[in-house]
Amino acid sequence: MLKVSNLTVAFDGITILDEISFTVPTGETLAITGPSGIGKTTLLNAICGIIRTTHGNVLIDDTDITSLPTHKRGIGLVSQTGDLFPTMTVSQNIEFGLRISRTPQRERTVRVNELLDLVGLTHLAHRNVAELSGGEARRIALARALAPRPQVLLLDEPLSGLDQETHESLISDLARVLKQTTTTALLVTHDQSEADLLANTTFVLPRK
Amino acid sequence: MKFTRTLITASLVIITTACSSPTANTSTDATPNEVTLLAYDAFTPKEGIFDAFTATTGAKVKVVTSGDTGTLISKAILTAGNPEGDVLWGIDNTLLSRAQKAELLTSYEPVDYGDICVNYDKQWFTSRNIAPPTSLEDLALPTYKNLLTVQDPVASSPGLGFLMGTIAHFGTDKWQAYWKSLKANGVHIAADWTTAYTIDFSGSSGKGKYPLVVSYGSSPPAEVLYAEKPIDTPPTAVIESTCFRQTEYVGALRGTRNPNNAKKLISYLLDVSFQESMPLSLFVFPVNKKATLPDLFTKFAVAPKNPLTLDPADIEKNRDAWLSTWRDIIL
Amino acid sequence: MAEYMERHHLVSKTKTLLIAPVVFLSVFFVVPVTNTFLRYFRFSEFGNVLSNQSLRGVAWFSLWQAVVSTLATLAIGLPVTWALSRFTFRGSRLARGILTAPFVLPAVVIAAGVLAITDSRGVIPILWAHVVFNVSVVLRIVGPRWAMVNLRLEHAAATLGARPSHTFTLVVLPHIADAVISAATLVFVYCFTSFGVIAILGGISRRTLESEIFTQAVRLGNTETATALAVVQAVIIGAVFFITRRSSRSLSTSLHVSSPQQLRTKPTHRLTPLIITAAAIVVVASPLLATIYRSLVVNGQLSLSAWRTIFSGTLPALSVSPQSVITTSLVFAITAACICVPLALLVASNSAPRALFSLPLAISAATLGIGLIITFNRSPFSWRSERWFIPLIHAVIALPLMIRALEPAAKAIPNSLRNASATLGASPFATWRHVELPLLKPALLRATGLSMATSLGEFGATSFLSRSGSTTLPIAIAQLLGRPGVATQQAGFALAALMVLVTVGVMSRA
Repeated sequence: MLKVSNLTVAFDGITILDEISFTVPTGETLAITGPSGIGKTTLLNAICGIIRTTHGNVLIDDTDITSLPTHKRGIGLVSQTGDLFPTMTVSQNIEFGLRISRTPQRERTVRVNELLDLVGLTHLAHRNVAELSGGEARRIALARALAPRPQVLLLDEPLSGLDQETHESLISDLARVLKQTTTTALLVTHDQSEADLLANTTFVLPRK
Repeated sequence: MKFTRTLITASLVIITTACSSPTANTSTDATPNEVTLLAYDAFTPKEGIFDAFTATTGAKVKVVTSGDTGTLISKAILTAGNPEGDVLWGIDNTLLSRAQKAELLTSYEPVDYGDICVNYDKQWFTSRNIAPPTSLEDLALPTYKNLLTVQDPVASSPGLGFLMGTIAHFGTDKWQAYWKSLKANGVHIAADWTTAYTIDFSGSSGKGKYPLVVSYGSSPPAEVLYAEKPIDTPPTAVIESTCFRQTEYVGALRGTRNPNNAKKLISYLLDVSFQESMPLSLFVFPVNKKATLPDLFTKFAVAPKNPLTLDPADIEKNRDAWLSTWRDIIL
Repeated sequence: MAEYMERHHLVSKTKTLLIAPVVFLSVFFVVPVTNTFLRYFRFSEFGNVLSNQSLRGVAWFSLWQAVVSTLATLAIGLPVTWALSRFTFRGSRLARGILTAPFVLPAVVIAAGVLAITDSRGVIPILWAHVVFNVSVVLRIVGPRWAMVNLRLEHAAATLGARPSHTFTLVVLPHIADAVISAATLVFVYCFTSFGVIAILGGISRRTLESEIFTQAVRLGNTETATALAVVQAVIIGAVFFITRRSSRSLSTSLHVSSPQQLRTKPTHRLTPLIITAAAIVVVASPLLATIYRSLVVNGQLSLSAWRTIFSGTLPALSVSPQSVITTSLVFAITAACICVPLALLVASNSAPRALFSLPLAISAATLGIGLIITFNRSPFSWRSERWFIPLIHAVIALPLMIRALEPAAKAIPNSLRNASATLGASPFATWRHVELPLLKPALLRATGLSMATSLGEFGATSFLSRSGSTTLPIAIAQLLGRPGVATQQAGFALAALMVLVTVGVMSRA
């Protein structure tokens, strides 16, 4: 369960998020919507610790993680741009989180194959990430984020900017993956239909 | 890329040919309105001193400087026969033979002299009630343990002068023992004059740890002339019996394109007016007996009647061997 | 197809322009150095040098002190490069200026500053002076590259559970590795060929090959021995370049181009870069402060007389005014930069023969100096005593450094950008002017600063060139410090301090 209470973020005296509170029950997906520029990405960055919160708390299963550094929070993130490591191959990207946690090599290989299978891209395992299409890159980013089995998965506009066909295939795959992995997820989107399809609940980010 | 290659080859060929073409020998001056004086960086004559020369001869003096004496002479030797100027200032007796061997100069004469002597910090000795040393032998006494800083003779001309002085004083077979005793007495070897005098020495700006330093017989008047606040007497003095005579020469360079002007400039440099300007601009003594010394020099500068000396030919013959023996003793 | 044609056209155009740097380097470097070797290299002397025990010791000392100095420089330089290229904070520009300033200063000033603090000579002071000198090289070469590493990649690594140290080694390092190797190679070469620092801090028992080459050539007149040693030195440096060139090539990658971002992190994270920067400044700035202190304090008392002397327009004992010394130095530095930076840019944006353009680093300054005076000695090439010849040679010496400073940024520009511009109808020049140049601007500014710095501080090959009425700052400082009299030495330190302050000012803007 992810619980956000009274979360406030301000930079240089300008309040970007003001007293935001919500809860995502374990295994469920909450969609965050709102017009662009409202602070959706900032909210995700604050939850995973990339930016600093002015006050308020983030809890996972009643453990306060507000003061933990990003790498100790156990929160996965699929960002808008994918941010695959260009110096690594597709499978090395997926393997990254497992390598960090010193998972034995055999387990890693199994898990990477499992995830490649899950996102349907087994044939691209040894590709250079620069050669991937937009949709493929999103899928790999998703697989990479899922690999270390995060307690919470943050998805930042995972479907924006794709062509109609890719969008449709990815949206159904994403729904399937979220259901299969029973991950607690937070989905940021500006598209209400996307929210309806993927999320159990929708939270509209209020204006400041 | 073919064009590039052709262009490079062409430029290389042009330059190489140009460099190997012989120069024409001329008996009259190529540039009668100019004469070039080559000197070391520290050659800083009195401002406007060459105006009188230009007024009488019509030739302008161009002073071209490069590096210290060693650099200047090495460069001059490398370009012997095709010199960068007409007159060379600053060869001293420790380097004279090397210049002769390379037939660097067509004629040369002594132009100034000075001495390389141990200087001491007067206040350091009076405040401790210790008498300053008075001889080379004294420097090896326990009273003066860890007080002396000298320059590396390989890199520094005062350092070389001091080494030559010890050889002149103790003889070619006993100087080695003297340096062993200096080493045992804690002599400090500095890289160059600047380090020894401005960083190690306690008597000048650096306020270092060593009250005894190898410098020049003319250093005390310089301390007065360039004092931070006006003073009457220098804070330093010279141990006369340690002084090694250094004579500087001026000469016409072989291959000069202006031999007549070169001759005129040399006689001007030896003339009373220039000679009298030297003590306070270059801190050296004039060779011209008719030149009168400024008060500051007569009072504080030291040039002993019978300084230590060595024959330039002996120096040239033995320099490398002496230096390597010295290195073996010190290292 | 049209796209391919355009691109091909563009590449061949700039390739032709490579003639300029190639000819420049050939005429002012390759020819004179070849001339020295042709005239003074003897195989017999080479054998003597190799079998000489004490000269082998000199080579060994040059090598190991250079390796240790390089490691120490990276240990201090890399963290502060991270801090300054990742974060902007109050005083970060000033910090950059302070850390870069020593590169411009004559070795005598830095060495005297270190000596004033350590009060002893030997290996530790040498290492310290080398670090002070070279942190700026790391900062200038690795900094722009680091700033280009997409910050979001680091965030992605953190969300996957990577500690900052893991993020650095696994995600950041592969991106900046070639810049780090490039900087480390340069630092190694500078320390290996160190001359001024060794002369003052090494005493007489610590010598490098470079200082031995000068001793042999200038003090003892053994040009043949010096030339043989120069060959040994060139071979060792050449080997180092060969090794690092291979490893840097295998690691180079294409990068996202993004401008450095201001990171808003947790308070604890915010303090780390400040602490790292402060620590680096203490190491680098304390010898500089010692210089300023010596210009202000006489006999334990504050005195402004040296500064008054400088600003009153006279230098004691020198027949030049401080204004003319400063003007000469600046004119030389600007001229050298105007020659060097465009040439370096041409080389950096093309795959030019790297070995050729690394040569000035491998060849001893004495070898070049001797070559210049025996080559440019007859009309119409009688340039050795010309005033303009000095900045020209400064440009030759700065060229390899400039290329290295520009190359990482130039390589990071993706071809797709050029293609995009070309397909939009932009001529190669327009592409360069409107697309590439703006992206290269920060790197270019830094390179210009470095080039001017090299010119202001150069004291090796050009000390072989004669000057008439063109005393530069390092020469004036060395002259003032090289004479007795408190006032002259004070003025020397004041001039050095002025150089420190002006440089810090200029570098914190560039």
